[in-house]
Amino acid sequence: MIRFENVGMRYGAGPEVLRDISFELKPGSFHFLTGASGAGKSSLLRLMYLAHRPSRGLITILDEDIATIPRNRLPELRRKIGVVFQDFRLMSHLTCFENVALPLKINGAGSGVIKKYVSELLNWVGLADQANARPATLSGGQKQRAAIARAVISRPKLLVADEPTGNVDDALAVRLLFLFEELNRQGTTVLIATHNESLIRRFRHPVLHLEDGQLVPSPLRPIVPLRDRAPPPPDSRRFSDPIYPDAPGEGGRHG
Amino acid sequence: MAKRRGDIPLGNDPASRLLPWIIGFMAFIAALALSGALVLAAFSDRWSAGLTGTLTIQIPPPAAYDDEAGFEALQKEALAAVRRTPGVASATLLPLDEMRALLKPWLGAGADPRDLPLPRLIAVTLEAGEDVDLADLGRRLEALAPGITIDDHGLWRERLTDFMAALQLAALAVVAVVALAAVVMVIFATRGGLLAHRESIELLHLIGAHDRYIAAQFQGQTLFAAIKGGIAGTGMAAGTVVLLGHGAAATGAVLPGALVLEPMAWLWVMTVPMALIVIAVLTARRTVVNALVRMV
Ligand SMILES: Nc1ncnc2c1ncn2[C@@H]1O[C@H](COP(=O)(O)OP(=O)(O)OP(=O)(O)O)[C@@H](O)[C@H]1O
Ligand SMILES: [Mg+2]
Repeated sequence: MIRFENVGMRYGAGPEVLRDISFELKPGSFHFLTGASGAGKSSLLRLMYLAHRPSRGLITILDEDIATIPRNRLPELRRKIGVVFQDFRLMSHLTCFENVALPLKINGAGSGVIKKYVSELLNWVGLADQANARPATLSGGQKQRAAIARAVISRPKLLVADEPTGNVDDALAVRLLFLFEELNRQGTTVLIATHNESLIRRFRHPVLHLEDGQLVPSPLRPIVPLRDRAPPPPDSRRFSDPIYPDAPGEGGRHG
Repeated sequence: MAKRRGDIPLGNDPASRLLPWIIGFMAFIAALALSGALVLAAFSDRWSAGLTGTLTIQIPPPAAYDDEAGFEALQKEALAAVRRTPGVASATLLPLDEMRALLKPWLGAGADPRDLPLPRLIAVTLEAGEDVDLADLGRRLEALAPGITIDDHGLWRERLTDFMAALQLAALAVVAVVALAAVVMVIFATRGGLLAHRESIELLHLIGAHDRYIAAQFQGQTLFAAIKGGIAGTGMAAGTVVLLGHGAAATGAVLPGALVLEPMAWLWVMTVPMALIVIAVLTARRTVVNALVRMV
């Protein structure tokens, strides 16, 4: 479970860029995060992927109170969180394959496992023939897909994505959303910051809306209780090739 | 130079690239200083041992110069007295010709050393491990003729060993300073790397890397640099020592024993690169871990 209670955040000694943020994400839920540029979306996500400490308030991430968690347990918690950064943050000296493999490598996975999973996933996001390319030689959309692949490779319990479809065309954006939904079906809690209104309309997930550092009801769609949500569009499954065909299901939001 | 490929591209930093060179220079200086200390130690041991087993007994020339016969009788008596002393292996009167030959260069070709009233010297070799009662011998020789002296080279030996000890201390101080300098340089290089790769380090943290995983990258880089530099620097120092040894041998056997390192001493010199490698890696690790704790 993810819970924010009266959270405030500031950069250094600057003003609070987030104020009185309170919300809760149930395990296995799928939310969009919207708001104008500079409203604080990336800042909120930074709190969620433990890159920043709140200046006040309580944050619970995957049932851990992050104010009290000892430093040496942070890596274990972070491994359960997949992050797609707004600026990708791929390592320029590593190949596409190595970048995507990094979380598995850090987790101590063997090269056989890494090869299998990374190849499969690169295939799925359409980067199989770019596996040995350096990020500098990839297009914006290719980098984005590599960044997404790295975020989901270790099947995180929480996926946090900052504008994950900002650099791809609508068809690919939809395809990537299916990937997130597939992950979500396997139990991952998903939060996606996006400006893309057509995506929000098409994928009918609840919306958290930020305005000037505060959560307000979304003009597009007020936050709807999970149970009342409409089922995903029927065509979503057509594209959602199973990423890990041999992996046991972990009970998604329907389970 | 071979490139290592870790998760952080440390091999490209200016500081990281300089590190093998710096460690190489340090290894060179340390190995050279240590070799010097070891050569001096062996040298002073040999010299001291050479002097310990010997005595020189000096019979002053007779005041009355023409009493040649009495002087010769005195020499024989003194020689006999020395030979009777327990613990003496051999005693020989240094031939007069030999002494004159030694003096010749000092006096010039024109002068005849025969004109000089020379003391006579008895070179005594002692039996190894025997204690000779020098006081008793002195008394007996004094009874033969006043003014006969025994020189056991004690003062000379003492000064020599003091001087050698001071030189060795200086050499070891150089080794210690080099070790300290290595620590400082590795700290600088590592901090430079930490600063240059802040973003990569943050990313590794965010995707769940432990501090030790990140530290291992720096350790690996430093290990690589230290191995390269340490081996190259020590190799150069070893070459220099061998060349110097040859050079010393070529100047003629002025010195007792050649200025060469014994096999055991070489082993000691080999500890220089190893110690530098260990120091460098541990320093890098500490620096990184200390810095990472302060990060998110
Ligand atoms: N590193 C930083 N240091 C100081 N202020 C920052 C920093 N990053 C963001 N801010 C400020 O925090 C506020 C929120 O920024 P944030 O990046 O969270 O917005 P955003 O909603 O993600 O915008 P966008 O849609 O353009 O990505 C802005 O006023 C911004 O200037
Ligand atoms: Mg942003």
